[in-house]
Amino acid sequence: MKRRTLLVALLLLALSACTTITKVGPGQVTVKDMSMTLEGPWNKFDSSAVVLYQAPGATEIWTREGFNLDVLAFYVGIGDGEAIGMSLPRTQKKMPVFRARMAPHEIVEAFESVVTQDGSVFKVGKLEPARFAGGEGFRFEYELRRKGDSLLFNGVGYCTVANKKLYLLAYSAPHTYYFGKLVPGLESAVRTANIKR
Amino acid sequence: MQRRRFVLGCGCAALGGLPWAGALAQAEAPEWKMPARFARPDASSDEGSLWAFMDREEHRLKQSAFVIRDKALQDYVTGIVCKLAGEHCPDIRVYIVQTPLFNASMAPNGMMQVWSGLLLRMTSEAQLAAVLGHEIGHYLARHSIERLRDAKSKSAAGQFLGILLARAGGLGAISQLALLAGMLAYSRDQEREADRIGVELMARAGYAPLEASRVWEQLLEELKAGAKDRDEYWDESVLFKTHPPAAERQKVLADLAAAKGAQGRTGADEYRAALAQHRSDFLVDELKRHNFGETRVLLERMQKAFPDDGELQYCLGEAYRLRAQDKDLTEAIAAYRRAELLKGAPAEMYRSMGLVQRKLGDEGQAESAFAKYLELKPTAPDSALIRTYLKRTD
Amino acid sequence: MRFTLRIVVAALALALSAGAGAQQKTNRAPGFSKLAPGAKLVIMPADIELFEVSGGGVFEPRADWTAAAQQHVRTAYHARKDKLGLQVIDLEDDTSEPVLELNRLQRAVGGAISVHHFGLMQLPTKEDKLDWTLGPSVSEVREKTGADYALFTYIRDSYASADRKAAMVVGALFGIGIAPGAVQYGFCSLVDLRSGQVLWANRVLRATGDLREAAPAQETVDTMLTGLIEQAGPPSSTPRPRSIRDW
Repeated sequence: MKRRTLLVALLLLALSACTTITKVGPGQVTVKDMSMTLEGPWNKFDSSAVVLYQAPGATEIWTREGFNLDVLAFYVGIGDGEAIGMSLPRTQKKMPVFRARMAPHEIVEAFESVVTQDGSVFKVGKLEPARFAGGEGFRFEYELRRKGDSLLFNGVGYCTVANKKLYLLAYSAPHTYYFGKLVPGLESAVRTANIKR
Repeated sequence: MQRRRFVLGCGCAALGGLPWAGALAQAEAPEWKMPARFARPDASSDEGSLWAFMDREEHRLKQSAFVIRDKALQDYVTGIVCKLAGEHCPDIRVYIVQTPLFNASMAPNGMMQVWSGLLLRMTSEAQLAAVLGHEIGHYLARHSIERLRDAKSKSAAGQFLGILLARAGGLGAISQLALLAGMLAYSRDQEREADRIGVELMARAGYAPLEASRVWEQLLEELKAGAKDRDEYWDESVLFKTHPPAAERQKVLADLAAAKGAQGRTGADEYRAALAQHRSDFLVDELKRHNFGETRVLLERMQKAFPDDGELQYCLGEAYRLRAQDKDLTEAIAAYRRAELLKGAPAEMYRSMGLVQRKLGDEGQAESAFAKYLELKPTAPDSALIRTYLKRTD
Repeated sequence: MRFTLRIVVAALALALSAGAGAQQKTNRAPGFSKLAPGAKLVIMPADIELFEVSGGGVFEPRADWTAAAQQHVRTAYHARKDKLGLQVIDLEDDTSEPVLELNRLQRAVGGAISVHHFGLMQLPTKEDKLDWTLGPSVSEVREKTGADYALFTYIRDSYASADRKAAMVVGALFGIGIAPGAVQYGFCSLVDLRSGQVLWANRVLRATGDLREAAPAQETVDTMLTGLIEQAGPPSSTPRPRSIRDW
């Protein structure tokens, strides 16, 4: 465990009084105006006091095994002209701005810039059209090598633009064992996603 | 904030060896003598502790996935180090790290780090030798142990912990070495001394000393252009707070070079050949920094040296496309068009062209560009999505 | 960074005052009752760093202390092999990529267990169970060593220097609380090298313990191995740590 993980552990200890983790699912769950039906339970992180480097500024963050392992990040209901994500503490980095006319490639580039603020390296793989949350959208796969501890992650993202707003879900988990094990559960949930249009 | 101690070239000389007479205060000083090889210090001494700590950092560095393990590149850089460091060569181990920023550093135990951002920015072997020579200068002059003792005696509260925790705070882009390097930031006098030794080593190894001054000239130009975009995990002000001001440095190095005589090898062709395999990857990393001021200056400098290089024009286009302010989109298209006439631009250029033309409202042009991309890469991982762009009518 | 230091110390104060030592969380995976007698345990290279904290709060890495600690911890594990009922071997450093990646995963999983199981950020879906795994790629280690279990260790430990202690005493006279800055944090886990399941784990977070000498290092290791072995009788050598870190 790197010192970083230690410090994260200690910081999380310190801030635990201000944060809660609650169970979501099974059953129907909503994140803003997006809903999903979950087969099993997930853990939802309530506080924005701690920035997760793999999903800075997400609307909501879920996990099954722990936030430094698998993370389901929701960037949803982001309007035209609003920033996607947030800058890491102590940096003043300007965040990409969502525009309703952005091409999927550009949304992925924006997402990449948000989740690589800590120097992690991101490589997009498949990028294909897909139905998502009741509309036309796209799906992408990626690899992320985390800078802090060199751990390799696989990721998958689903995205659509509805009511001129961005709805993006990104799920990442360690390449070794975890992603393969957990992603089917994620994809079955994604299939049930819906947005009030 | 401790981050400002992350310095360019924080070499750390360590233990043993005769401290050579630091008489090189002025350009007229007696000729500098290379010290004898250093012996490992006693484990219970403060130097020994620092050395052993760096051994463990090196052990961790070896496990990092961000070390570039290409033997050819490693051997090339090590070769330059050995030309400069002479008999100290066996004591130095070079690690090339994938980080798109300008930095090189050296620890008292002989571990040297060179970041890929530095390699991308050097335009000749002599320029790289200048930076490495500076680091070796710190090592040979044992600056780090001076600083360690100075820091301890001042008992600068929280200095060590602050650094360690700052790094642990998640900005893992800065390696532990740079972290510790920041902890042992050199004084300006030490930086000047390292510059002098560096130029001396360059000259003795047959490199053109004036290239050292050019390194700073180039960096300064970049940093000025990038001032507005700076927002990342590297605090640029470090360069100016702990080093003599860049302009002064440029002048001093130019004077030192003049004193040495401006003859010597530049090695631009050798350098380009050595970097060829990695340049595309380094350029991609550079663009992803989203610091367009610096990237643009860097690319324009590279283009001047290689005007027929299509990949460089493509990258310039990318820089404009990603910033997308004011007239950037038009500039991007212009760059892509230039790239089209040259060799070396990747098929992705047509995809980028299509994206920009779409934004500019040139639907017809966009479709041609996307079609061209698909023609060149029919099985690209995003081909299905590109086909939907072709169908779009709005 | 002083701010961060304050947070860390406050966190530790919170954790320690919240009944440290009263380990309410289970150390064992569901279904794990005991180790297979005579099985082989490989001790993975431990990640240990010892620091000295000076009067001004400077944490200085002490290489000599760290080297001693590594030696003592290794000896202490071997000393307990009869109690564990296992053959014990050490793994020298392996820098092959699969083992490197496995170690990276282990550190991350260890962090998750530390924070989400022993720490205060419980994951409701885990239902208080110690239920984590490294997955089947542990076979890399099993093949290299022939071992059935692997033990991973992570320790960060700091000790107050004389001027630090003096500062604390003086501060106390004036009603100024100076945080000790001396803390022992240890995390240890035992992994089944067939399934990859983390069978047992423990976290130690306290203001005592001394890894610089053999006997107190044994005490630290025995404390870390709680739940895996019975204690060796009354805590005979609750030796007075060389540096007093009471506050």
